[in-house]
Amino acid sequence: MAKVTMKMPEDFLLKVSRLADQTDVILPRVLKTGGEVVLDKVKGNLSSAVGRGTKYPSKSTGELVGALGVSPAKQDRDGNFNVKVGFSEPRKDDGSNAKIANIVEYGKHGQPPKPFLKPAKSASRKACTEAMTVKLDEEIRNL
Amino acid sequence: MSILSELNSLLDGLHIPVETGVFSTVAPDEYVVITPLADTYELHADNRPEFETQEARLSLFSKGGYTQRKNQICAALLGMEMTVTDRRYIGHEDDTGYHHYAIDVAKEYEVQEE
Repeated sequence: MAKVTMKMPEDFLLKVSRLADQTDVILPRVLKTGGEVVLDKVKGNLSSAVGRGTKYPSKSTGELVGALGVSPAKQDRDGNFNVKVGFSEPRKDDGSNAKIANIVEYGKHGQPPKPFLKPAKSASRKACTEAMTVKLDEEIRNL
Repeated sequence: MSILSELNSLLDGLHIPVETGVFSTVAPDEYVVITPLADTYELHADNRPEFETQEARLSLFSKGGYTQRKNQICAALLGMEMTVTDRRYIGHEDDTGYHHYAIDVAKEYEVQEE
């Protein structure tokens, strides 16, 4: 019986092998790129929400906006890498940035919500995916 | 047709006082505030989107039990083919006595050219 053997190109196999070795290095870089896109949107939304339409003149110090950042990529228990956009703690007055952010996002009785996180999530989804795709392509080309 | 007008009619039908943005009059023991969240062109394959996704947040404030009301609102939202993207108990406001519950919804609408 005739037998055919097909071989993958050597350089392709080498790249796939390198990609497997470098996954733990490449994925955090790609996620960081995506996280920064979302961070910019969240920061923009929050800056425009803080101090807008307040009953009394705003006493905002800019600490909440300044505390925004992207966490380093960490692996969860399922082995997936994640980055989080959130606030560093605590505040200078020992208060919680997350608590203030929650009140800005969801409002209270007598204080209208000024959502900044949810709209950022919706508005930056596509841009974030595209930025991560470009970064991943770049990283694979550089292998 | 927009998500705001649909939500207003839905909540009027459930006899819940509702306002958009901020509750301007004296607040009753139970009311809802609607806040627009985002309008995005999520679903299109070419450069001319014909549908947009509109998102809004319902903030339910209730001094009594909120569970039944929350379930009633969610059932009505789903009945109107809206997508509930988040449901969250924010907490009890000890200073005002209100329970605060947030429901985020989204729905696709044909783009209106006026």
